[in-house]
Amino acid sequence: MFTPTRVLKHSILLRLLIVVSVLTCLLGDVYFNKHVNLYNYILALLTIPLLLSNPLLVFLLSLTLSIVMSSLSSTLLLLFSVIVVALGFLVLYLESSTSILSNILISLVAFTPVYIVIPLSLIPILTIIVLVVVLSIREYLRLGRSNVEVFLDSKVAYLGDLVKYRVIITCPGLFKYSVLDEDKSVVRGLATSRVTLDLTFRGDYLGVNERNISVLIEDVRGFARLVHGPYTLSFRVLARISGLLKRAEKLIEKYAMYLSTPRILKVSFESLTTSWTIPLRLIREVEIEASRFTSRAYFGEYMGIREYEPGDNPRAIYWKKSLRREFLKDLYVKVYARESTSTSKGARVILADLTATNPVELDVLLSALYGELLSEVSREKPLIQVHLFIKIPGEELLYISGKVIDVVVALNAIIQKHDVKALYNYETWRRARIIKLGESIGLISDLENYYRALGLALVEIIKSKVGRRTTVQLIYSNALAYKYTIISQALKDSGFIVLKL
Amino acid sequence: MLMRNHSFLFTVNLALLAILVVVSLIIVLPVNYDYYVLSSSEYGHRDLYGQEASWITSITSLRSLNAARTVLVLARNTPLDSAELEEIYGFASRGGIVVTYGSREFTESIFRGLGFEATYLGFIRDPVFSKSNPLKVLVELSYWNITVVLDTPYVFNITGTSSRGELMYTANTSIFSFVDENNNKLYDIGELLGDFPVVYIVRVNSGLLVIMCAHGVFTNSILSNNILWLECLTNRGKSIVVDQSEFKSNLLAHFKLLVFTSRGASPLFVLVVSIIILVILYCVYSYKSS
Repeated sequence: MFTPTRVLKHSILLRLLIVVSVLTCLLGDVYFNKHVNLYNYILALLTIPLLLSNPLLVFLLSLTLSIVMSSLSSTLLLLFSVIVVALGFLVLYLESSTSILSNILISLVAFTPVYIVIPLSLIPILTIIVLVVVLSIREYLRLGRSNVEVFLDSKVAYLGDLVKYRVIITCPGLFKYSVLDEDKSVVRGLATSRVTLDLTFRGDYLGVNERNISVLIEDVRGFARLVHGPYTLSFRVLARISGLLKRAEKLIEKYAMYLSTPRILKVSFESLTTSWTIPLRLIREVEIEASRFTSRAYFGEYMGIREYEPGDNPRAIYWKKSLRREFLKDLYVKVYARESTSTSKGARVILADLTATNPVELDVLLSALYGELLSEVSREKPLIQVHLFIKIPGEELLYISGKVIDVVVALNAIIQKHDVKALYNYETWRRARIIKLGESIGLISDLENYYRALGLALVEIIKSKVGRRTTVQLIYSNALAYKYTIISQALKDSGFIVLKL
Repeated sequence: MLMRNHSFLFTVNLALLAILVVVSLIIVLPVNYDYYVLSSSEYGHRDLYGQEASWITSITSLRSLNAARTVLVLARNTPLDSAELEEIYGFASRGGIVVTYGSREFTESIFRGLGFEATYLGFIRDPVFSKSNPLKVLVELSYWNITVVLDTPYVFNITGTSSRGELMYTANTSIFSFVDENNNKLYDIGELLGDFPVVYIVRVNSGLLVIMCAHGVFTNSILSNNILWLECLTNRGKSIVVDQSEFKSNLLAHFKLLVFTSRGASPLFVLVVSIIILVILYCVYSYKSS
């Protein structure tokens, strides 16, 4: 292994050898010719830069000198020309730490006019080609001992998240590397013996994804290059919401005995006057979803019976006793030890707009919404009252109210049975500048007024349903920041505390 | 701007290299001028060049040569003027050997320059003692006691005397040769038949002026037949010099003569071309690295 100091010593020695060879050759030429020619002086002068100049110039000078020496029509001088060019090449090889192969090949081609006149000058050129081939074989043998390991940190990632993978490259000596992700270079550098790279790519598509990673290893001087791979990395991209949905199902199963159908209304704004409609089909679907859980629920220790009240679980109806009664309306339900008694004191108001500009954003919005709801359930508050205003893309605003687990069940039904998806697929960013409300004119002013009116309508709705001023949690996408900034301002002006997510 | 400069530099350097390639090709591509040392044609002197002959591009260069150790081959198509003849005469008088051959006009100009009257009779053909071709006529040089082949010899009727030296002929064609006056390649009744003098020698001091009435002697077509005589002429370490002053007005031929030496392409020319290429490459690499 050459250290820089040793390389320098070798290089100086080689340079001196070139000078000695050239001068010997010139003396030989003078001896054969019996007189000194002009070119002898010029060649002697050209040996001076050999000691001082950079390695590339040394190579070019040695090439020039050897070509001229080969034109002197003497076998001995031709041998010297081969020695000179080989030494010049070795100086360049030893002193260079960057790619030199292309420079060497271009130099050889550039001297074509001389080869045409002096075909013998091809002998020094052949010497260089032989040296290049030998060194290339040597470098290929070295790179052949390299090894690459590519593996994923985790085989599962959430949509839009960065998937981490690690590349470990081992190769004897100094080498250049470049990691190619789907034939596109993502990182490149220089290393000795071993390098560990922690890299990432984005999981943009749901389901099983595959990425082809290749590693290009090169000799620093460009004499050899080797491609390892492609290595196929297989991983699964999940939506965040899928994890939350599973968690929601577990929590709902845990609190299934408290389940009842929440109130669901469809809110429509017509000429800024609110109208309410009851989405029967949706309510039925929510009921079926809820019954799926309650059918498996454990109801606790039997405590007795009482009269049926709207919202009671139909499975708790005590049919035997109820049928003895004259009127069907006189239904009785069994009462169990863990029957719910609302312990919630505060009601939560959440306004979520699921209009997203891309699937990743929709996933984030849904995750935020579920996160809000499930955090209450996780805090052992499954019965806290929640008022959820949810805007499904392309649909009207829905109002769902009830215990948090009821709302979660309703939300599950809506998400799973209705095709909730992002309407577009493009990136959005939050606006960097601050919007000063009330200062706009023209179309923007009209839009601002419309959003303010929408906000005021929402204020009225929330007041009518919740009954008091409370905290309103807003969940919306980047693209709707302007709209919800105005709506939140309207809510704040009406005394609500607004939290944005 | 940097990109534009880069592409301009690249174009200029590429153009320079292309020019050098073209120049090199012009230099090495063959030409077929008569009596030209780099010509491989029938009447060229390429084979003589292979015998390590050197050449002069100006007749005045004869002054700098060591005449006693030089054999001058003077072969031309164009006649000599009096100044040129004086230079040649001077060279011979210093002990040099001058062998002349070429066109009829050229040989005639030498005879006239020496003070003789020369009347052209015609081409000589020898259907018996010829070298496979009646135009390549075998003659014996009695002065050197050696046989040579002359390519397309012709004959003059030489009359008069000269103060510059005695004219003596040294070679006759065979008795079967004839003068093809109408140049129909056949003997016709009335055409002269017999042996004809075709090689003359004029002794000038210690030098010799060998006037050969033929189109070719050391030309590519018959050099191999006359190589023994050439060796005989140069046997005491004399060097062969070929006069190429006729091509002074031909730019391409003159340039090629300047580039080549008796040992091949001139090392100085190779050095100049190589240095130009070196500078081009170094400029490109420096610009690239900066």
